[in-house]
Amino acid sequence: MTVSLGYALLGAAILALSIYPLVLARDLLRRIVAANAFGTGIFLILVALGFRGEGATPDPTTHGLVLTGIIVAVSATGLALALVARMHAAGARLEDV
Amino acid sequence: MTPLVLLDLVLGAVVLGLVAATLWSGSRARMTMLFIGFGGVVALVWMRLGAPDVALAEAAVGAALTGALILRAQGSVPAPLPERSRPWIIRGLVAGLSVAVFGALAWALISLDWKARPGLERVVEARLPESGVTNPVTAVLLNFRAYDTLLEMAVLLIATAAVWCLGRSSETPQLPPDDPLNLALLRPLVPLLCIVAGYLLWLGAFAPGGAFQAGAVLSGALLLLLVAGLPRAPGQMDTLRLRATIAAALLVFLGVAAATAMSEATLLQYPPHRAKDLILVIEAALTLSVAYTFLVLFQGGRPPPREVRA
Repeated sequence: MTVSLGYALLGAAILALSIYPLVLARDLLRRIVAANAFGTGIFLILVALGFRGEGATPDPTTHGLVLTGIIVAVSATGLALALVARMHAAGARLEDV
Repeated sequence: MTPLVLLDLVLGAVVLGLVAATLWSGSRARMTMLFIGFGGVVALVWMRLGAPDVALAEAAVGAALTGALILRAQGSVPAPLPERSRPWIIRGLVAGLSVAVFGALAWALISLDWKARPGLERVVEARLPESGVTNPVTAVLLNFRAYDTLLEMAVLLIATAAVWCLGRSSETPQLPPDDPLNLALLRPLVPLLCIVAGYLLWLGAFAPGGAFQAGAVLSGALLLLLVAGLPRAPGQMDTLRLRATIAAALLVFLGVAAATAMSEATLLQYPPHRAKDLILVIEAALTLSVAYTFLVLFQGGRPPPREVRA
């Protein structure tokens, strides 16, 4: 059980670490990377919750949820990057953000 | 100390170090490279936690593809001026928020009764024979919780439509055309990637693999053709076929949902003897749609129309 708890705490640490650049980074690309790391922290907590110890069957529903999350995260990342590129093409400066 | 504990400690330390290095790295190029490395190590963590399906998706999508998207965007978004530091009160507040979130999560996780936590693995195991596949993750994604995956495809299509509407894709940076290494690399690699994609698609029914991993690998082949500067390669022109391929997964999924709603009276409840065929049809459509969707996301806009031939 300590393995599950350890990895869940690792997920919480990743999530907490990415909050600071997510809110304060001036470079929008860095914010998008931070949002991805934030998501990975959540995924890690979920998969750790489904882990049942060495050799035992893990909970496949958590794996399904995380797989869905990874695909949704990449589509959101693609949209965010296209928005940032468009913002720049329309004349916005990153320093204004 | 057993080797497994040692592995856990090393993995944890590397993941934490990489995420901190990624988010506080000096340059963007370094940030992107470290982020891809972070995704690779996280894939190892998924393997450690008995989630090989997630590990495959993380390596192909979370690390490689997201990394490629960010690398591609660097060219079209200029780097900001050197960071002007924000007022200390704001920095302090955000740091406090981060510590508070970690504290609250840690408290919740530690006070959880880890021996008695609920889980669905027994239910899934008991009903697995009815699902038509033997890989429990595929059974959850495409049978037991197929409705989630249906909506996920809708999200993917909406995001792609938004990127499509935001404008034309800018010129993709290309490999030097006359480099003999390019062709030597592309000739074996593109067919190999297509075979691996087909293999992963078929494998998903009974072993780690599946439509999303296969689609990501196939999009790798399409991206290679794109950066090699082959304008006639699939998916590089705004044609009806490209639009139809991107929408195919949702359309096929909706068709199956409508058919099952009429014949079985419940949305997406497959008749057990047809389940395997239906799942394979949906997964094949998913693979194609996902591959072309990622190609559009990578280009950051809709591809040029067919008439333009330079």
